[in-house]
Amino acid sequence: MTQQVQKKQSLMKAPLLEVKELSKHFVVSTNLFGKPKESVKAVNGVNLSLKKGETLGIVGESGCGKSTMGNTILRLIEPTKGSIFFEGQDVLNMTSTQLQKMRKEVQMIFQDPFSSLNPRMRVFDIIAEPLRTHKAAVGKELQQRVYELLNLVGLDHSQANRFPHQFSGGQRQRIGIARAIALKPKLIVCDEPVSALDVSIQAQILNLLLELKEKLQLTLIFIGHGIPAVKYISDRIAVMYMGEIVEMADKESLFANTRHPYTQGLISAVPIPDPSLREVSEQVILEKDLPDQRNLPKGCSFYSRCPFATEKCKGQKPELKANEEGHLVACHYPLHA
Amino acid sequence: MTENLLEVKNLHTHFFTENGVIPSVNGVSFSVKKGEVIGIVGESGCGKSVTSLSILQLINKPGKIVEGEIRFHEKDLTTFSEKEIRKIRGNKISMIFQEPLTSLNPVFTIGHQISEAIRLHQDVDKKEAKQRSISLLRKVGMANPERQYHAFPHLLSGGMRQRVMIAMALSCNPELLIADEPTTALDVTIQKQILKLMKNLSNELNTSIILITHDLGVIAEMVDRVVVMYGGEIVEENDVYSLFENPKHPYTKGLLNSTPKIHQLKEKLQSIEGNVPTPDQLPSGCNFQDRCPFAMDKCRELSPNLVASTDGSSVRCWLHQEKEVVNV
Ligand SMILES: Nc1ncnc2c1ncn2[C@@H]1O[C@H](COP(=O)(O)OP(=O)(O)OP(=O)(O)O)[C@@H](O)[C@H]1O
Ligand SMILES: Nc1ncnc2c1ncn2[C@@H]1O[C@H](COP(=O)(O)OP(=O)(O)OP(=O)(O)O)[C@@H](O)[C@H]1O
Ligand code: SF4
Ligand code: SF4
Ligand SMILES: [Mg+2]
Ligand SMILES: [Mg+2]
Repeated sequence: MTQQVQKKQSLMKAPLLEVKELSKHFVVSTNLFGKPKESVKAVNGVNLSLKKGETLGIVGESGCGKSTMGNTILRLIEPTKGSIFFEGQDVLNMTSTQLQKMRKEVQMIFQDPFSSLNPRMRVFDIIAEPLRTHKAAVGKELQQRVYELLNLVGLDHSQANRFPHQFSGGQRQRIGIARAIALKPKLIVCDEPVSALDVSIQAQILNLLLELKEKLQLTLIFIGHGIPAVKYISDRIAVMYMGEIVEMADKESLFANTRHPYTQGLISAVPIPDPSLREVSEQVILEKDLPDQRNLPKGCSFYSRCPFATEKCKGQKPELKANEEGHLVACHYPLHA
Repeated sequence: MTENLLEVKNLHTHFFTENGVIPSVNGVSFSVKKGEVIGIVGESGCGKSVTSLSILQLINKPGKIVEGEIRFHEKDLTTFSEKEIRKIRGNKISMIFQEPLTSLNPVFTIGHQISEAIRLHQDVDKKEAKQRSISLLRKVGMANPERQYHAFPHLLSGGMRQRVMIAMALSCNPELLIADEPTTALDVTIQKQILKLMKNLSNELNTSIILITHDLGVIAEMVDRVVVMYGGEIVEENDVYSLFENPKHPYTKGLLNSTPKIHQLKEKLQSIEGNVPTPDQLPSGCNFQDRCPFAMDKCRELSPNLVASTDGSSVRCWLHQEKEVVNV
C-alpha cells in the first residue's frame, strides 16, 4: 500500500467529529469578589464521536443541555472545558482561515423557522447569503445555484422573490434547510427542526432530511424532544440527563435493550398512537420532576428519581461504559445486563 | 342512552378583520355525554381553540358566533347574558390552556388564586377556601401543599404550574373540563403525569372532558371519541378504537401515516403533501382537495356533507357517502 492510500483509509475510518470531555458551565451568580458562586452545569463531560454519513439523535428532557452541546460543537458558545475535533483538527485551536473553512462545512438548522430567517430579506437573498459571504458563486451561477437549492428542498424558483412571512411554517423550514446546505456542508446540527411544525408537515421535513442526507452524503446531529421522530431519522441515539450522556447506542439496541432506568422512563412516557395498546402502556415510572441543576448530586445524577437507586449510587458516580455490543450506559445496575 | 351534557350544533364562528372575514369555524356539530372524554385533533389553525372558546362564550371582537347553538343541559349558552355565563364559566365548565404561565397572575400566590376561584362561585369563608385549596393541591399531586400554597407562579416548573391550573379548574367540581393542548409545552415524562391525573379525576368525579391536541398518541391513550377537524370543519368522528383501526377520511389516514411510531419498525413515513390551509384561502368544493391523493372532479365542484353511518361514525368525503345514511 502506498502512503497515500494508507492516509486516505485512515481518514475514512477516522471519525468526522470527535468530542472529548466537553463541558459548558454557565455562571448564574457571583460572590462579592466576582468569583463564580453558583453555576449551571449545562454540559458536563460529554464524549462522543460521529462517523461520516451517520445520524446521531440526541434526546432528553427540557434543560438537559442538548442545545448547549450543539452550540458548543459549532463554537457558537465557547466551552468551559474539553476538546472538539472536526476531521481530526482541533476546533478550539484553529487559525482563522481554518475556522472559516470549518464554518462552511458545519451548518445548523434551528427549531423556530419563524425567528431564524431575516423577515426583511427575500428568500433568494436568504439562501444566497452564505454563498456570497464565502464567495462560492456570483452572477448567473449564483442564481442557478439558488434555484437548484430551492428545487432540492421542494420549493419552486417562482417563490424566490417572496419574503419569509409569505410562507407557511413547513415552507420556512425548507428555506432554512436550503440555506444550511448551500455551501455543501459535511455536518449539520439540527436543533429541534420539526418541533414547531404540524404532524403532516413534520413527516415531510423528516423525509426531506433523509433524502438530502443520502444525496449529499451528510452527517447529522438531530436534537429532538419528540422521541418517535428522533427514532425515525437516527442511526444512533444519545440520551442526555442533566448535562451528561447516560446512554448511547444504535437505535434498535436502545429501544429493544434499554439499559438505563432514565431511558426506560423516558420511552415509557411516550404516548403510543394505538388505543389497543392503552393498558400495556399505562405506567408512569418517572414520578418526580427534574432536580435543581445548580446542586448536582455527588453520585449518579439520576439518583433522586431512580426507582433502583442504592447507597452506592448516592456516593459514587457511574461511568459511561460499553458492553460487548458497544451499547454505552452510565449506571451501576444497568437493565438487561 | 345517556343524555348529552353538551351539544354543539352547527357552530359558525367568524372573525371580521380589516382584511376581510376569516371563517374559522364552519358548521361544527358534536356532543359530549356525562363522563365522556372527547378528543379534538387537527392541524394548526383548523379551528380547535376557536371552537372551545365559542363553547364558553369567550370569542371577543372582531370575532363572533354567527350561527349555531351551544346547548349545555339543554340550555343554549349563546343566548345567555354575560352575568349568566359567568355562573357557568369556571364553575360548571372550566378550561385549562396550553401555557399555564400566561393564565396565572404573576403577582399573587397560587394559593390566593385558587382560593379566589373557589370564593367566586361558592359561599365559603377565607379559611374554608384555603383548606379546600390545599386539599386540591394535594389531590393534583403537589408535594408539600401547605408550603406550595404560598408559592408564586414563576417559581414553579411548567409541570407544577399545569397542576395548579388543573387544581383551579377543578375547584368547583366542574361537569365539563375543556383542556386546550394542556401538555404540549411539557416534557413527555411530565405530560404522562398530567394526563394520568386528568384521567383519574374524570373517572373519580365523572367529569366530562374535551381534550384538544395535535398528538395522536395522546388521543389514543386518553379519549373515548375523536373529532377530527380540518379547515374549520369536522371531517370525521368516531370512537377511538374504530378511528385508529379503520380511518375513513383521507386526511385522517394521512395523519395516522405521517405519525412516527416508536413501537413499530421503521417504515417510510408517508407525509401529506402540500401545506396546511388558512381559513381565508379555502377552496370551493372539498377543503382537502389540494392535498388529497383521491381527489376527483366532483371534489373540486361540490363540498361533501358530514354523513353519519349506521356504525356510529361520521365522515365528510365523497368516497364515503354510502346509501344507508342519515344526514346530520
Ligand atoms: N446563557 C445561559 N445562561 C445560563 N444558563 C443557561 C444558558 N443557556 C442555557 N442555560 C441553562 O443550561 C441548561 C441547558 O440548557 P439547554 O438550552 O442546552 O437545554 P436543552 O436540552 O436544549 O432544552 P430544551 O429541550 O428546552 O431546548 C438549562 O438549565 C438552561 O437553563
Ligand atoms: N382573534 C382572531 N382574529 C383573527 N383570526 C383569528 C383570531 N383567532 C383565531 N383566528 C383564526 O382562526 C383560525 C382558527 O384558529 P384556532 O386558534 O382555533 O386554531 P387551532 O386549531 O386552535 O390551532 P393551533 O393548533 O395552532 O392552536 C386560525 O386561522 C386563526 O388565524
Ligand atoms: S447508578 Fe443507581 S441511581 Fe443511577 S441510574 Fe443506575 S441504579 Fe439508578
Ligand atoms: S371529498 Fe374528495 S378531495 Fe375531499 S377528502 Fe374525499 S376524496 Fe379527497
Ligand atoms: Mg434546546
Ligand atoms: Mg389552538
